[in-house]
Amino acid sequence: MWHRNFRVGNVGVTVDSTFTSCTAILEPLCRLYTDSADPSLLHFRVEPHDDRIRLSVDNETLWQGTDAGEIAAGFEVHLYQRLLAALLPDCLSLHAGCVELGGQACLFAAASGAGKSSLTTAAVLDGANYLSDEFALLGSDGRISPFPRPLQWGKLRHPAFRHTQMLAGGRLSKALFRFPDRYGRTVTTLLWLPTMIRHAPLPLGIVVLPQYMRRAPTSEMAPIRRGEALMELPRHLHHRLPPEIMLQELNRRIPATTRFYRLQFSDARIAWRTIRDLPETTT
Amino acid sequence: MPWGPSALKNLSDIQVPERPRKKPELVGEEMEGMDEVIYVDTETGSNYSLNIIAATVLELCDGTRTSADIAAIIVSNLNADSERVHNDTQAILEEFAAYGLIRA
Repeated sequence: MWHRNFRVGNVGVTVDSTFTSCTAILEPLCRLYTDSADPSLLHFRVEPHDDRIRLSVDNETLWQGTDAGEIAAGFEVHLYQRLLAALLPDCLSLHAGCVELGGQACLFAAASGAGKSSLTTAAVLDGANYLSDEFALLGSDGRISPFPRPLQWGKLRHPAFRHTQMLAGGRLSKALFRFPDRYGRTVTTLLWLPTMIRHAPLPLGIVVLPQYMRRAPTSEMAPIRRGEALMELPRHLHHRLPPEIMLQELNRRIPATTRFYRLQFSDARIAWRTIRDLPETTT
Repeated sequence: MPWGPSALKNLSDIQVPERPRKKPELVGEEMEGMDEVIYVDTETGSNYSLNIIAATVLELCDGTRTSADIAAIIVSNLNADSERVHNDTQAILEEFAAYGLIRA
């Protein structure tokens, strides 16, 4: 039996699998997270049930099927859902990419399609340590905990990066799994696995609100007021909370020293270099 | 406050209540050291950014004070020019009324 204990924020997770075919997919996913010997709050199991494979958490059946890829896809979805619920109130999850810059966390907070994954990828390829491409976990101490799930986007090809560029330098490796959708069509999921991961929390230093625009200058960035950013950030929280609570929590958690920028860009690599080379952030 | 042609009504058409009251669904969050307060309308989810003077005017709208009462409090605290503060207070209240932040 394959067994893995890891931690995301303050939540311990255990995953057990007795299916070699599932383990082969789950292992690279789980390897990204921080090892932990702490007691688990969430215990996922992949085990035989009748003539099928059963995915469960804390003995609650989440999914049953015959395809290892399908089970792995179900595991990913439920892992994220369960974690987000369990992380509150210790951690608030912002829909944001996050990398390490100058010993601090640098967030790209945006809606889907605004370019946060492109910026995160550009940063990782440039040598920045990876924290997340989707879930930035903001603790009550103003630090961001890693949630280093695999980088992924809907299509096999990334609009900004070729596969050869992404694999060069050894900052990313790729994993691929396939599973049938509800109509029996094969869905292929491509995961990009960062090799340089930050495993400890970092103080939140920079928040960038990016917007990819095809016709924008390659990179145009300007500082914005804390208040302007805080009026926008609640919409990027994963949690459904009363609006005044979201604002208050963000205002109390985000350090007074955090700097905020708005960014329009058409080239993720140049945009990342603009952020990286901000005078105050160079170490 | 989100300025824009579509957001602004004709201020001359706006009636400021004689004794305005802050909309009860507004919850303020002060930006420490920034002279700024963000208000969330818990009914609509809308956000409003006010400078500290405008926020003070809004908080003084308790349904018992007139525009002149509010201006007088600010004059006494800031030691500012009375006529200017009265005019500014009235202008701020007109904007509040236009955005529905105060009621009769």
